[in-house]
Amino acid sequence: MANDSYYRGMRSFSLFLVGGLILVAGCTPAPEAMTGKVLIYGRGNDAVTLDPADAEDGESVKTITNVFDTLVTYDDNGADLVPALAESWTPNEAGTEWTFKLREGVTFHDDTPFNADAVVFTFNRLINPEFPERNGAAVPYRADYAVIEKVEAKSPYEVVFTLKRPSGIFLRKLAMFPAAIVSPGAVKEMKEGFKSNPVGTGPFVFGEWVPGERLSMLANPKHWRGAPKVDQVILKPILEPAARRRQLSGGEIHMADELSIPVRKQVREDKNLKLDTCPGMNTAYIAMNNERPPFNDPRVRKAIAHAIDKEAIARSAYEGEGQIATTLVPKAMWGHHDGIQNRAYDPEKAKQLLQEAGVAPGTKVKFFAMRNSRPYMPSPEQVTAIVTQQLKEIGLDPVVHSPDWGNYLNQVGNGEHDICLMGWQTDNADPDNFLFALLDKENAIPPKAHNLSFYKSEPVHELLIAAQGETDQAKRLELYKKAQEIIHEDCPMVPLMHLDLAVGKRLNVEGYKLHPTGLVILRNTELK
Amino acid sequence: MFLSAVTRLIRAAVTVFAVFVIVFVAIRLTPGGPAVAMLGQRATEAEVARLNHEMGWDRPIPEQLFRYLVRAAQGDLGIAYLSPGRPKVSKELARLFPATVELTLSALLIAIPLGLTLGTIAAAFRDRWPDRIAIALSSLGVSIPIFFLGILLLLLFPSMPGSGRIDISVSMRGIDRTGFYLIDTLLAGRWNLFQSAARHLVLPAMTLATVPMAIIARVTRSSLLEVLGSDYIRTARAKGVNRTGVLLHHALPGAAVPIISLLGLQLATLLAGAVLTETVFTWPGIGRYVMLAASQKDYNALQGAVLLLGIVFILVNTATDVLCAWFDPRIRRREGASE
Amino acid sequence: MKSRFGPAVLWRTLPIALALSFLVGVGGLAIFASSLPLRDPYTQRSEDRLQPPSPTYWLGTDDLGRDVMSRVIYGGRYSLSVGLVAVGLAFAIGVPLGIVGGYAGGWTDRILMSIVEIVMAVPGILLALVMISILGPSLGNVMIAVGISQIPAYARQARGGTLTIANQEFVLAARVAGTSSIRILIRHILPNVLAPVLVVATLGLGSAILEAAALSFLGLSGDPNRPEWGSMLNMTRERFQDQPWLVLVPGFAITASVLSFNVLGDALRDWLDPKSRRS
Repeated sequence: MANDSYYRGMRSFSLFLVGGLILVAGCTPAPEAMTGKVLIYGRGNDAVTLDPADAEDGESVKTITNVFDTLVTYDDNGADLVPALAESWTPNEAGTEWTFKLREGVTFHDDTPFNADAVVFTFNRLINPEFPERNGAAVPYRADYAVIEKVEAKSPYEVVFTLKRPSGIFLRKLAMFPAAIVSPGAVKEMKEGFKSNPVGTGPFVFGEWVPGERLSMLANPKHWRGAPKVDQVILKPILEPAARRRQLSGGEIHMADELSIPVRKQVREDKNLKLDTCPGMNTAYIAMNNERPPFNDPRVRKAIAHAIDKEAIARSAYEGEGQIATTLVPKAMWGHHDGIQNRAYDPEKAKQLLQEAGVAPGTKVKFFAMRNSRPYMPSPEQVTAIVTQQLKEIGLDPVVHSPDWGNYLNQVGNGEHDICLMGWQTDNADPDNFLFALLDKENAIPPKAHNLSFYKSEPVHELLIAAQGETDQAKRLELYKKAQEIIHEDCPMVPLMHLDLAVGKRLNVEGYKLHPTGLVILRNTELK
Repeated sequence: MFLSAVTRLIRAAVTVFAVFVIVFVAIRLTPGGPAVAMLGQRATEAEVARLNHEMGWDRPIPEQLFRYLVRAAQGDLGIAYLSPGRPKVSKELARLFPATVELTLSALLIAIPLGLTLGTIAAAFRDRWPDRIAIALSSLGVSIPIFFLGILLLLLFPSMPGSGRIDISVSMRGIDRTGFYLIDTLLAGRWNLFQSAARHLVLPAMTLATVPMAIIARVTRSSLLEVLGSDYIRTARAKGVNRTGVLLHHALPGAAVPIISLLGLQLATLLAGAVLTETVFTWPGIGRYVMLAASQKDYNALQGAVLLLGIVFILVNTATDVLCAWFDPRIRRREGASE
Repeated sequence: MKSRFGPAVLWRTLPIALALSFLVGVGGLAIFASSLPLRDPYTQRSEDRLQPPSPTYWLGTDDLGRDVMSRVIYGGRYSLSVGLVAVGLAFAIGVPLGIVGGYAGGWTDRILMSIVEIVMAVPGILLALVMISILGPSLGNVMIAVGISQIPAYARQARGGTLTIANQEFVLAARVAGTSSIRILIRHILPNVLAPVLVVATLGLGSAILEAAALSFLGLSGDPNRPEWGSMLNMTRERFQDQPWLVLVPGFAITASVLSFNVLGDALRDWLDPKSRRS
C-alpha cells in the first residue's frame, strides 16, 4: 500500500506543474501593441511573387497595387482612367505614337528618382524577352503589351510609346499591374531578390514578408498623393473563409476578403462587423463546344439556354449575392449591352428546339464542372447540381466530369468537353478582355484555348479587331454592342451570373472602398 | 558494443536513403509535374518543355538524383518553386524547423513530467481509484484524435491565441538569432514578446503532448510494477527503505530505459502529431510544410523536407541508443531489446 | 485476481461491455442506415442551415443545411470500413510476409525484414502524404496508405510467432515426414500464429480509424461532401465557436470508436495471454 507522504509529494508535484501551466497560460497580459496604427487584412492565400512582371495571381497583385504606381490608373470609384505617374498624355493623329508627360519630384522607396529612364526600363523588361534585367520574371502578361513597338525617353520627364498599330486598349493596359513602374536601381541590384523585395513609388513601402504568415507594408509619407491613413498594413493569409470570419469577429484581423456565400451571411448578421459589397466585373458562364455535334447546331445551343433557370441559380447557389448575366460583358463594366434580353427559362421551348434539331432524348452530354470555388462562382457543386437536373428535364443525359483544377483547365482548353462551367474576372475593365479573350477565333486554338465555346465567327472577329484599333471610346462601344448582338443570336455560350465583390470589416475600419475591378486599394483606409 | 551501435547507425542511414530514393523516384513517375503549376494556365507546351529542360526535369531520373545529391551535399537543396516568394528550400527549412522543434520540445516538457507522475501514481495505487483514473486518462489520451483535441482546447480557452507563433504585428527581423522564439525574445530582452511567444505555444504544445503523455504514463506504470516485483527492490525493502523511497530512488531510474527507448520510437507519432497540430493551430513548422509541399508536388520542397526528417530520424535513433546505454549498461548485452 | 465476483470484476468488465455495445450500436446503425427513418445525408436545405440540436434535428444541421445525425450515422459506414479495409490489407500482406520470413530464415528473412524496416522507418503520415500526392486524394488511397503503414506490425508479430513455433516438435515431425513447406505453413503454423495477430488487428483497427480520420481531416480523402467523420470535422472545424455541435459530434464518434477498439484489443490480449496482464 502506498503511504501518505508519497502521495502528498506527488500531489504537490502535479499541482506545481498545473500551476506553472496556468501561470503561462492565463496570467500574462497580451503583449503591448506595436506603435502606430496597424491594419491587419485577412486574405485567402499568400502572394506568389511581388515583382509586377512576374505576377499573375490576385494575392500577389494585392501587394503590388499598394507598393507600386502605374502611369495611369483607375478612378477610385469606378473604372475610368485618371492620371497617376503620368500627368497627361497625347496620342498622335494615327494613334500609333503616345507621348506621356511624367509627374516630377516623385522618388522610389529606395530614394532614387522616378523619371523617363525608369519607365523605359520597366517597359523594356516587360516586352523584350531577351532583356538582361528580366531576372527570371515569367512575364505572363507579355502578350498584352506586344502592341508596343518601342519606348523612348524624349526628355527626363517625357516618354514616347510607339505602337505597331493603333490601339483602343493600350491605355487600359498601362493601368494594369504588370505595367507598374519598378525602380531600375533596385532591380539591377537585387536581381532575383526583387521578387521578394519590391521597390516602387506606391503609397506603401514594402516591409517584411514571412511566407505563409505575414506580409507587412509601411506607410510611405512621401507619396505624391499624400501619406496613407494607417502606419502599417499586415496582410495575413488565412486559408478557410470560415477561419477568416472567426478571426474577424474575434478582432484578430480588421478586414477579410474572399468570403464564401454562407460566411457573407454570417458577417452581415454580426453586429460588430460590416459587409461591403459592390457589383463585380466577372461573369460565370456555360461554354458549349460549337465544334462538337450536337452543339454545332445553334438550335441545340439555344435549347440549353432556355433549359437553364438562372433565377434558381441566383437564388440557391448565389443566394442573392450576384446578378443574372444576359451577356458576357458584366453589367458593372462599360461596354455592357443593356438591350440584350435574357433567354427566359422555358423547358417546353427547349424540348421543342431539341426535337427540331433532331436530338434524341437520352443523348449523353459530357459536362465538365469544377469542384473548387472560383472568384465568379463560389459554390460550383450547387450550380452543377442545378444545371444537371435541368438538362435532365429536357431529356438530355449529362455526364459530369470534375478533374482537379489544373487538369480541368488542360482538358477544357483542349476541347474535350461538350459543355463546361467557366468564368472570367477582368484584368483591365475593358470589354476586349472578355469578348476577344473568350469568344474570338484567335483564342480558339487547342490545347490552350481560352475560347472554350470554340466559336469562330468571322463577323465578330472583324468587329473585335476593329474595336481594338479604335481609340474613340464611343465608337468602340458601338462595335462591342454590335458584336454582343451577333453573339446573342449565335448563342455560343450561356452567360449565367455576375458575383458581387464583398469585404468584411470591423466597425472601426473606415474609408475603404471596394473597387469594381477587384483591386485592393488601401491608401484611404483608416483605423478609428 | 560500439560496433553494434555503428551497425545500427549504418542500417538507419541506409533505410533513410532508401526511403529518400523511393520518394524521389515516385514523385517523378506521376503525371502533372511542377512546370505546369509554375507557369500557370497561360503556358504553352513549348514553354513547359523549355522550363522542364532548364530545370533538368527532362533528364533521366538517376542523373537527376545524382545531381540533386551532389548539390545537397554542398547544402544546396534548390528552390521551392511553388512556395510564396520562391525561396531556397534550405532557407525555408532553417526557418520552419526550429518552429517544429520548439513545439515538440515544449510538448515533451509537458508530457514527460505529467506522464511520469500519472504512471507513478497509478503504480502506487495499483487497482485502486487513482490507478483506474490514470488508466482511463491514458486510454483516452491515445484514442482522442489530436486534431479534435486541439479544437476542443480552442473552444475551452477562447482567449488564448489559436494561430501563429507570436503576435501578428510583431516582426522578428533582427532578433531571430536561433529561430526559437522563446530564446530569441529573451536574448533580445523583449519580455513582452517572450510572453506573446509563450502564450502562442501553450495550446499547440498541450495538444501535441497528449499522446506521448498517455504512452509514458502506461509504460511508467507497467515498468514500475515489474521492477517493484523484482529481487533488488525486495532487497531494498528488506533493508528498510520505505515505499516512497523505493519508488523514487530505485524503481523509477530502472524504468528510465523503457521510457527513453519508447520516446525514440515515438518520434514518428510526434511527427504525425506535429502535422496535425500545426494544421489546427496554423503553426508555421515543418509538418505543415511537408503537407503543403506534398499536395502541390513541389519536388524540391518535398525532397528537402524528407531528407531533413530522415536525418533527424537517424540522429534521434542514435541518441536514444546512447541514452539507453548510459542509463543501463545491461542493455549492451541485450541486442535489439528496445521494444 | 482475488475473487471471480465483486467490484474488481465489474470494473474490469464494464469498459468491455460499454465498448462492445458502442461498436455494435454504431456498426448496426451504419449497416442499416438506409432502412432507418433518417434524412438523406447529402440533401441541402438552405432554409435550415446551422440549426442547433432540436427535436426536429436531434444533432442539428451543418452550414449547408444537412442533417448532422444522418451524416454521422452514414459516416460510420465510411469511417469504420476504411479501418476494416486498411487492417485487412495490412493483415493480408503482413502475415504472409512474416510467416514466410520466419519460417524460411536466412536471406529471404533478411530481405523481407529490411523491407519491413524501411516501411516502419517512414512515419505513417509522411508515407500517406507522399502516396496521396502521387496517387491523388481519394478514400481508396487513404485506405491503401493506412494499410501499408500498418504492415510492419503484422509482419513482425507473425514472424515472432513463427520463429517460436517452427522449432516445436510437431512442426519438426511434419518436416521429417516430408510434408511440403506450404502445407506446414498453412496447416500448422498459421493457426498457431493467428491468435496474437488478431490482438494486433483489434488494436490496429483503432489506430487505422484514427489515422484515416487524420488524413481525411487534412483533406486527403477526396470528396469533402462525403459524410466521413474526419472530413466532417475538417469542413466544420472553423465553426467550433458558434456551432460547437458540428465538431463535437464527429469528434466524439471518432474518439469513442477508437477508444472502444483499444479497450477490446487490451481485453483480448489479457484473455489470450494472461502473462501479459499486469494489473
